[in-house]
Amino acid sequence: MVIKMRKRRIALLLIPALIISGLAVFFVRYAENRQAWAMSVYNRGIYSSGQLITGNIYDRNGIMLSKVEDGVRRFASDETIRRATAHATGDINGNIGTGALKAFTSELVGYNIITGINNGRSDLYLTIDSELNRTAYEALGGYSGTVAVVNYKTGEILCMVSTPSCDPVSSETAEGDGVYLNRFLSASYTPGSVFKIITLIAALEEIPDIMEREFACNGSVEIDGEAVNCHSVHGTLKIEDAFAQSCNCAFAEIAIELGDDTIIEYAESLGLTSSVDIDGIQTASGSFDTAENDRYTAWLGIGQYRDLVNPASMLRLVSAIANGGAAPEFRLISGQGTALLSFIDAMEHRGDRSERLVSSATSEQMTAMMDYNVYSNYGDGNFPGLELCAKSGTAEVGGDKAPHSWFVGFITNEEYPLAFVVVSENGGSGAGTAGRIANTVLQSAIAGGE
Amino acid sequence: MKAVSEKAKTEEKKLYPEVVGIILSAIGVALLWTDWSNMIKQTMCALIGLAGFGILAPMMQARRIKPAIRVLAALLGVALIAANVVLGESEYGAQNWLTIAGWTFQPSELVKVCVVLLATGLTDKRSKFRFILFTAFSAVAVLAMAFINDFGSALVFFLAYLAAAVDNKRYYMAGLAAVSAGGAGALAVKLRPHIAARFLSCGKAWENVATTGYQQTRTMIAIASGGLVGAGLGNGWLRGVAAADTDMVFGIVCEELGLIVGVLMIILVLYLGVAVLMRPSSGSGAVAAAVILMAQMALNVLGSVDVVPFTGVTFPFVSRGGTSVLACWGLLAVIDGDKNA
Ligand SMILES: [Zn+2]
Repeated sequence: MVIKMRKRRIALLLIPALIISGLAVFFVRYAENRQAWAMSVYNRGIYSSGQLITGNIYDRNGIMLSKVEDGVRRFASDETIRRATAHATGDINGNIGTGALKAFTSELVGYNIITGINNGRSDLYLTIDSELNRTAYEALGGYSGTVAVVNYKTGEILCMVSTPSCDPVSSETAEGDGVYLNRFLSASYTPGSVFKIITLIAALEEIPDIMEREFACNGSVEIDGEAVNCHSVHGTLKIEDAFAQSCNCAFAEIAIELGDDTIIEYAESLGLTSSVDIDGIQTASGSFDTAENDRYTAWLGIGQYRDLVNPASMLRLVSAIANGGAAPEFRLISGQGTALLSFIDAMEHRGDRSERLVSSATSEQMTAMMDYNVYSNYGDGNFPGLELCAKSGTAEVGGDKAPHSWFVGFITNEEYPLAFVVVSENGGSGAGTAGRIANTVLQSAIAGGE
Repeated sequence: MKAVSEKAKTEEKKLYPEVVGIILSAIGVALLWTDWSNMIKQTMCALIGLAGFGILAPMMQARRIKPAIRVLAALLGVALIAANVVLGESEYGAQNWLTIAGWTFQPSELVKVCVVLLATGLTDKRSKFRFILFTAFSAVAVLAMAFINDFGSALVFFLAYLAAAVDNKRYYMAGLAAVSAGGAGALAVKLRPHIAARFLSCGKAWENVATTGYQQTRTMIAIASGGLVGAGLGNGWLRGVAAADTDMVFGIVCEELGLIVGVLMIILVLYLGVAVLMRPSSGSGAVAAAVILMAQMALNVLGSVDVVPFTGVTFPFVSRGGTSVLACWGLLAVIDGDKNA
């Protein structure tokens, strides 16, 4: 026999009902925000005076980049290594927003719902090779700019240097223009002739007889009453030579035939206007403006006008060309200290996460032409043993400043599936300055067995 | 048929409120293990409370509480309230601490026992005197707590009054009380805008991490830090924050013992409270005591995580504080003893 509770008291059940609703509100907030709460800078379990006091960072070979000892954060003992890896690792004050210390806080703490911030151990292994970073840092030789090398099969970023850099251990604010900015991830530059890669891809897919065409260059072409200059008098040339010689007259003609909308559409579909997600870090995205006349359209297709390109997105595009058309998912984290965390990470990144940017037919044509660039223009002798495919860019930046020097490309040798981007600001000739830096870094990468 | 019904009544599921008290007291004592002197105090109070429970529970049936005892309880309660209002020391906002000969205690905690004592026996047909005494005393208690800015306790006393009053045939008084309390609250907000400001900052803890949201944000951070299983007893940092072991004790439990234990504590209090409300034999005093325990738990937990305003109410049995623990055992004695045969 069921005994009923007193009728009037049923109203009192409103009290526990309200309490349960309040708890539900809390648990919904907990489910949504628990990670952000745990990662708060006010969490004394992981922060002390604004410094992250948990989590060690190593490079892909287990070389220590930053480590906590007795509650104090330390960095690599070699200053050049520190400066060369500062943008990957981050600095003690947290000024470098895209450094691991800021961007991978959660991984460094090893936060998970079961043990919270207490997992006993929190080691983070980056994909970069600190020695290769050192080579790149030294090869930049005082130029501002960036060097990055990626394995285009796996997406692992092996080298990522941005200059000017700072000593991450120093608590003083570093002097210099944008020292805390990782130019690979967060800058966008006028691309100059490296943008001809995009214009050429568009031409290969939109102009059926492009391979048969002949272009005429007498050093300049008049469009809308003003001259679009070429850097040389190329005479009559076919598309592969127009690309290899980076002939502005030929590309002006192609750009106008394609139209500004088509070129921008290709820039978008090739990933240049969107942000790349690298283990949660959002890169800067490039931007392009529609042109109001043919002359501007010509400059748009040549990579000048108002074109802006982020080095990471450019590297992603050449990686896709190297990889048969599919851009690999870029990674900066190679592993985490505990089996549980590595398992969670593996589950999050399982399956093929590459994204097709160009058809395999187009990527084959592009590979052949970028190979021809090195053979016919940049000189195989300047890149001994590399089996290099590349495109240079010499981006005019206005005023009386020297142009930015770009060099992008990849190695076709299956044993060294490396793609790279080099930008040296005001470095002059692309194939010259940036090309030399690329050669030094790639030679070192191969010698190091990457 | 009547015989069957009588039999069913005697077979009513027995509640073991002392089990809830023992588990929660044990958690409260364990949390103090880095603080020996307070741990000993807390243990002593829990043991005295348990013994008191054993002795007092059988004496808590309404018919055993003589009018003289009720008057005495009311007078003692008023004296405690008066002492609180006149001599009380303000600690972190609410003026609810009293130090006598080096022994700190919270008179308002003991007033709760007086309230539930006076709340007993309101179901009886002839309870005019009891009801008037209970109503008058509750009014004094609520107003006094509001006066010393202890709005958490004021709300707890108010809910206890409503809960017990619905049992009486003069239950419409409860409605009247609710309306007048609402009016008084509105008046208070109008006269003292800084109080309104304090309550309006609820839900905005993350926008005020250094000021009005300090305790709540630290509690949420600690809860998230502990995960489901916690960092281990004594390994948290929230206990280092001022008054955390009373007002933010839920955060300490979650940080060190894990969210699972934290949720278990909530479930224990809610289970006991709802069981008392549903138990047909529960007297009005037991219902009031159950509502007090649930309301305190809710104000403590939800206040510390920014769902309701932060009022500094203690978590029953778990928060540090001897008076609070003793009072909670007193409430349990009424829950166990105040039954209509
Ligand atoms: Zn030309």
